[in-house]
Amino acid sequence: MIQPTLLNRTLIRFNLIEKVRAWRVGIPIMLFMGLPCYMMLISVIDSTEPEAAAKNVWNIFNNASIYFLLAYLFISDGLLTGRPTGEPETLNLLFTRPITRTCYVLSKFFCGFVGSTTVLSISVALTFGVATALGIVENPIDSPFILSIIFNCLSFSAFYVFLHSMPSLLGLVSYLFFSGCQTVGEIMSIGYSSSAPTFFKYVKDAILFFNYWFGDVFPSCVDFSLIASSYYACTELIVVYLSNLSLFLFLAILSLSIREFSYGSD
Amino acid sequence: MARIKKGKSTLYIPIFVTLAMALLLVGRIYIKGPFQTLLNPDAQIGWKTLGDLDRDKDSYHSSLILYDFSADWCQPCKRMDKVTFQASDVVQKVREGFYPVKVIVGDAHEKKSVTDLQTKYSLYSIPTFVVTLPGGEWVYQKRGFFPPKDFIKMLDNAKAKAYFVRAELKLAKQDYKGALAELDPNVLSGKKTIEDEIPILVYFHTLKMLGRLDEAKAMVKKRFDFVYSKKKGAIQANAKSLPWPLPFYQYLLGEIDQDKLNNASTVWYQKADINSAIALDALASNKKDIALKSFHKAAESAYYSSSDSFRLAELFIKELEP
Repeated sequence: MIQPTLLNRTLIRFNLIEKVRAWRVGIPIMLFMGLPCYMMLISVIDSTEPEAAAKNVWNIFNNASIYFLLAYLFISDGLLTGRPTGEPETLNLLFTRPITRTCYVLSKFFCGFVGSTTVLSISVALTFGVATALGIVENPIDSPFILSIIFNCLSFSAFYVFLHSMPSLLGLVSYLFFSGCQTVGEIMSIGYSSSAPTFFKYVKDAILFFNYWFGDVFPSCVDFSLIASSYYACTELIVVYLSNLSLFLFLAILSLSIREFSYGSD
Repeated sequence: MARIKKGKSTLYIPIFVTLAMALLLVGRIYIKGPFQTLLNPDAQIGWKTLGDLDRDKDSYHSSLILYDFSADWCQPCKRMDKVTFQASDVVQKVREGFYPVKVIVGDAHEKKSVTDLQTKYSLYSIPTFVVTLPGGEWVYQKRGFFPPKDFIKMLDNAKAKAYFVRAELKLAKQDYKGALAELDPNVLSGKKTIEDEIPILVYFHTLKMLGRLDEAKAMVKKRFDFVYSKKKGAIQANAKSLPWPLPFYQYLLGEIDQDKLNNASTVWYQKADINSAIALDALASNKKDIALKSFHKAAESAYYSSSDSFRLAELFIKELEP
């Protein structure tokens, strides 16, 4: 019997509670919660410029890899199974307790979002406590900061659900393609040459085309203070953000719907 | 065979996601395509070219020159144009006290001038923003993408630094009273503290040459005590030598000699500060040859032209060399 629900309770319970109880997932999550406040402690104590050191620590919450890793911990089952792209419960769920593919994708997305937001909220609270105890007055906890964390958790969870729903190899290729499109422009800005041969000019143009049109598909951290700074930035960033979110969820549902699961793979 | 029970359909969710995605992708293509033509960031800031800079020499004598090193393939540069240079407070700030020059790296028309500037200001990535005095003396440099708030802060810092560079220029010409007039009165009265070694050295030397040695020493002592209290842990862990920059302050206070100062650090950029301090000391004793030699050493150790020690050494070398 297919459960016609939006979110699956069992899946949520497994990803947010049962999985976290396992040490393989629980320890990294505890580290994510405690590491920023520990860094705040050691950076501020041994610094001649404590305010500047504290500001550097707060920048951790602007780091894309943190959001990506947290989404991985809550969405993938790789750490539990010992296989980086493992998905042991997919077949069990689809065959023994059938749910719709949409429900599976949305439940995973929900778990990734709620899990990473919770971990980061605790982490921010702990870091704020330590910073205040050390006498740091300028802590950047304002509404744009909190909104940025929430929206980053949303976009990275959607991206990871997309990767998780793809077949392993295709997921890896997609990851490499989108991250490549994003970073290639930055790489070119590090080493530039004004006298390159014509052939390289065409290569450069092709790379720039991909960089321009696909470079912002790979999620990067949203900065709400930037969104509020100009009309153009606001329009472009919001449209890009929302279209990425819907694109990832669409591709995740599509991929899971047309994908064939082999009985031998579980 | 299990019978599929009919319930409320959730088919509307994928349909909604698909429609939303299609609509947003169309919006995205519009924003990245035709919407671009509605913007003209250059018209707002009023960027000039290197050619304009040569032509307008008389009109910007009181402004600072703001170079924006950019390129057509540089995404952060485009973001600067779309976001930061669209903000009205940034435009106003730039127009208030800067002569803005956009330098396109790789531009075939101005290739030589661009390469010269790249070498002069040690540019190795873009976007880079360089602020100079109208005479070309380097004041401030930052690279990367800056949101409007940070860019305005950067322009304010550059303005504040410009006074300091003007003081250095006068100091190099041994116009001590002129240098004092350019320095921040809040620092001189002790209301504000300065952190970096070269600015401290400049304040110290100016006061010293004007016969206000006690005042100069009090300023350095205050900074020494502050850093000492912050590095107490490191000092207790290694009682043999004081951590940098404490030996630098000790030298200014006359507590250690040149040899001890030289042995206090092996780090190249700290060597630049050491040689600058030794050079100014030699200059105070009227030993111009030793001063010139030490300034050359400071410039070599500084390596990057975008550093305070390099600029100070360069200004003095220019004045002292026969």
